[in-house]
Amino acid sequence: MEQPKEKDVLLEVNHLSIKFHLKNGKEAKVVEDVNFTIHKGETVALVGESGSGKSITSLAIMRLLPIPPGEITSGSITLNGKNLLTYKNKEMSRIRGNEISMIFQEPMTSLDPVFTIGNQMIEGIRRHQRVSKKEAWNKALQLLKEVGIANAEKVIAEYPHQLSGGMRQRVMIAIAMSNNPQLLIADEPTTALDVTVQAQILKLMLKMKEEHRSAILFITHDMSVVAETADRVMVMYAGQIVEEAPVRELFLNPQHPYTTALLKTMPSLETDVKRLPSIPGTVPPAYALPDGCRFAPRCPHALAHCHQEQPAVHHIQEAHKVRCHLFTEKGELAHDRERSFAGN
Amino acid sequence: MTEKEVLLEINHLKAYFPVKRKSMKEEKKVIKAVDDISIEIYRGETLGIVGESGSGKSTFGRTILKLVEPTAGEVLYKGQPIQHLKGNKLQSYRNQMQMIFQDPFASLNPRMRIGSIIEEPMKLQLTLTKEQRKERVKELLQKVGLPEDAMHKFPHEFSGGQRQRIGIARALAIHPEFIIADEPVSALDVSVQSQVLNLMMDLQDEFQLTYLFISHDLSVVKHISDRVAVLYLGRVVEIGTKKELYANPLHPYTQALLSAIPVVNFDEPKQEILLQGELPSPMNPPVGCVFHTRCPHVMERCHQERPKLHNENDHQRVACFLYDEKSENYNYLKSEV
Repeated sequence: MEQPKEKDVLLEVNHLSIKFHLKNGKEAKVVEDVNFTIHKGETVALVGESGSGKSITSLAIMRLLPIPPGEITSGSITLNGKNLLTYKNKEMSRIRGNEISMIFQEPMTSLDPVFTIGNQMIEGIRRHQRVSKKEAWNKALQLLKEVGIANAEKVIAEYPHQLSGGMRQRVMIAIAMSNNPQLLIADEPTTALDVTVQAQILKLMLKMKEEHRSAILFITHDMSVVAETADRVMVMYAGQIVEEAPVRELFLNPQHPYTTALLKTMPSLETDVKRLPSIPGTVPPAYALPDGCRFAPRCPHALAHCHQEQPAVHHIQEAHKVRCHLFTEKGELAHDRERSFAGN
Repeated sequence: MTEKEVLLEINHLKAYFPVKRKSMKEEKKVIKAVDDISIEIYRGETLGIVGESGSGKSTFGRTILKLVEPTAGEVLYKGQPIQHLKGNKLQSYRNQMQMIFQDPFASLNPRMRIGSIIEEPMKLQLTLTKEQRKERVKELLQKVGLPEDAMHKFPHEFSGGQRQRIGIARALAIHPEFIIADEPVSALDVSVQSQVLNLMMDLQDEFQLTYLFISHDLSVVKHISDRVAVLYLGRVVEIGTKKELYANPLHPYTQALLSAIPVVNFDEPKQEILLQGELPSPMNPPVGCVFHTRCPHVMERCHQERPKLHNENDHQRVACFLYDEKSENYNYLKSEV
């Protein structure tokens, strides 16, 4: 979990806002004013509960968002200085699976059931590389060995249903890595797996990242998985990034009330409490967001103007940003709240 | 363990499912979902059942309720065997038990209003008038923290956590003594998960409920349980009080499971036992100890014999040859622990 040596910017998301037009005429603002940067070789985690907009953000980067009903209302997504949002579909298909690739949550549904593993891998390799079928086959075989599939020669000729969940996720990683992507987006890659298998897959992802010198955008709802894998963490709530910090800083010194609460509600093996602290209420639906701060209705520190005015993003430290009214422009705790915050 | 009233006694319970053969020539195969489980459940406790998918934990819960007919073994409820219960008697047995399901989206009928959903078990099992039932619905909604007017709404109008509360209200409707909760919080977000767990614990105190809490999440099980049983391929490999089992896991599988849980700890790197491979198919479980294919401490003996669950200390029972007194490792392990 060391800092990446190169600090070159790979992906930059600027003021991204995404809206969905619902059938009943309402509009759902699923992503609003999202800004972040991913550097080369870095593992960045995007954490949030269901409905926070984290998957939608990743789909927008891949340009896989269904438009309509979705609509990117503003912002830009730049990869290596090129704005992906201006690309034509054909140009984008050269990027997808090549420069950016993606692993999905469900290893059951993201592989095609009627083709063998080998066929699916070769398709991906030959789409982006000028190699013969034989060469592609050998490359696929080598990748399967790299992801720890012992009997790769046998597996390459098998169909997805013949493999277990963990094996399928290994195959997915092999496919995603087959063109040495610069960015790997992993959307809840271990949520459908058992803990012992999850540990294997996380290890594998980080190993593959090192070997192929990729960056990872890791999307998850599980804070504890983040602690073990990411360099930097962004916490998303109701379509906005509410806090961003290096992983250690975020866990040891969380500033946004939502992050603090989220970390406290995690049942942990280490601590022993009679009652778990919980956050009252639920995440507001994207078509009925509160005015003002999105977290205000559930926030224990909410002030009167939290309910009226959207908070801006404040820098607490160079790499630590918080979207909260409790902090002043300079990133210091606002005076009138200091006491109650410290007493918490 | 202090003297406690045994509510349920489960003896050598087995649930096998036949597998369809492709031809007559093929050998008859069975899936041993639950394979010789013996457990006692005490009144008022929460017994956590932990296991990976395919370990038979859900089937075990269903077999107790007789939703799955056991292949062998017996379940004694307050000393009474239940396997021959039929008709009214089976109904009155089931009246005392309820189940909370994992998926709050699939376990509520989308065409019924919340009031009718909660009322339904009362219609079948209690002799209440319409007004009394309505009163009880109101009371239950209040108990689980939902507004009274929820009874006129449909399930789709509620979030996952709220639906799980409705599921809990329905389970409580007929005053059960024993509740089987099958992954009740797995589908919920963390911030909502803790609300539901707290609610379940409050209700347990209020109504002296006994829980069988089935989950794959060891941290959740640790939070809510008094005792924990670890299942692997249909067998209990270790059972003990929560305190002992988590502080001092004995079975290599329990140790590996605990070490596989990601933890937030930046200062001391944790000792990780990374298991190889995945759960073998329950259709074709390994001979001998079921865990020997993935066990880091596997010995010659594990390939042939099946270890029995035995008392390792006052609080823990474990099925592993490492703790057998004949084993060479025994003394070594004892000193290490």
